[in-house]
Amino acid sequence: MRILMFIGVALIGFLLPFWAFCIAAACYIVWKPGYELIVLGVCIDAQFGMSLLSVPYLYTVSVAALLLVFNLMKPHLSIYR
Amino acid sequence: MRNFSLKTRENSRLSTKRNTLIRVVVGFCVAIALLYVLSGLLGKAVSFVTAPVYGIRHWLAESSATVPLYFRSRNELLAQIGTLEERLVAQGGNEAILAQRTAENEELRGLLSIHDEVRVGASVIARPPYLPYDALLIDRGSDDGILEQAIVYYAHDRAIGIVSRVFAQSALVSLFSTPGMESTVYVVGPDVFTTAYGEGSGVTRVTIPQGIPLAEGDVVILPSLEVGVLGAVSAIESVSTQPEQNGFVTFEVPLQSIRTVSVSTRTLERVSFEDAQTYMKALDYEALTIEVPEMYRMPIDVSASATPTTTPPFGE
Repeated sequence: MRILMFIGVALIGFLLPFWAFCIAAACYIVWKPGYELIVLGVCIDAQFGMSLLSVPYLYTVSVAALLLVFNLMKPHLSIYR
Repeated sequence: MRNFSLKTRENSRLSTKRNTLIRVVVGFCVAIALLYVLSGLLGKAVSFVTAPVYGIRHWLAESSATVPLYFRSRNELLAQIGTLEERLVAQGGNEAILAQRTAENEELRGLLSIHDEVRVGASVIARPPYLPYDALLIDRGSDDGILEQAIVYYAHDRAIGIVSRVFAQSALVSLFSTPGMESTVYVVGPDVFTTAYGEGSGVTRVTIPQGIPLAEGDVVILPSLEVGVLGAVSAIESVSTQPEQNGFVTFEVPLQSIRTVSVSTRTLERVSFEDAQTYMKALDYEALTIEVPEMYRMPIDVSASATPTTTPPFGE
């Protein structure tokens, strides 16, 4: 199940806009710790390369930020009690 | 013991937070380092893996194979249905406005004692290609009150031509598109008067100077008639180096589809230049002027007109 979800997030990241990937990644991190998403972020950044118009390493930075925020928030969320 | 347990739980939470922080920061640093050093190699490897995914997406979006084409057509049709439904709703609103304006127009025409002219209904008995292209033969003639130079209408307000020859029980109608026929028209949109020239084959050409915006769909009316719409501009020919642009007006319905027409019982009254001049001379312009007393008149000094001078105020 986790592998399927990861593949789903990967497809969203490669095929859909950035905001859709952020939502999917956030859902995944809420469900599982999701440290493997950093690898996915690296892969997407490596695939798309760096654009002068966007933030460098956008996907990797975003995944790291989401991981940090959601994993630190988890102990305070009522759904985990 | 209890105190120790609480401390242990607190220490565990802090430890979890620290571990998370360390994992994310270390993972992030490693990821950035990898991207910085091996971005080209990683990119190639990822492209190799993702190529089939993009291939499938391209196949779904662009291919002319049956399955993607079916889904694309379906989506396009659904979008088109949505657009048409929106247009239908807007059209309903426009029809309500039109009905209100028509009623208001009728009321105002009634107040001004303007009544629709009496017309004679007629059936078209011959049309091109059995006649020259820009002519119709109708089944009413002088016995039914048809006069030469009477205007022929289609669908109440579409002026299509003029009766050019009357027989006892039939009449020949020359359409406004007959080559050589000229008429003064008013183009709604650019709001200009201009001349319409018959071009033949059901086409009338209106010429408008360059720079005046002319658009397809602009309505062309015949101001010499009480009710008379010639049609709408269906094509525009505009060459920027030419002083004029041409708008082409065609029939909204094919000539083959015109089954009945109505013919005005009045003829056009032609006013020649000489007649107009005679009428103008007969007008009394003296009622429009006021005799100004000598003391209030401005002094006119022809010699001083080249140099500006101060004029004394009135009454001095």
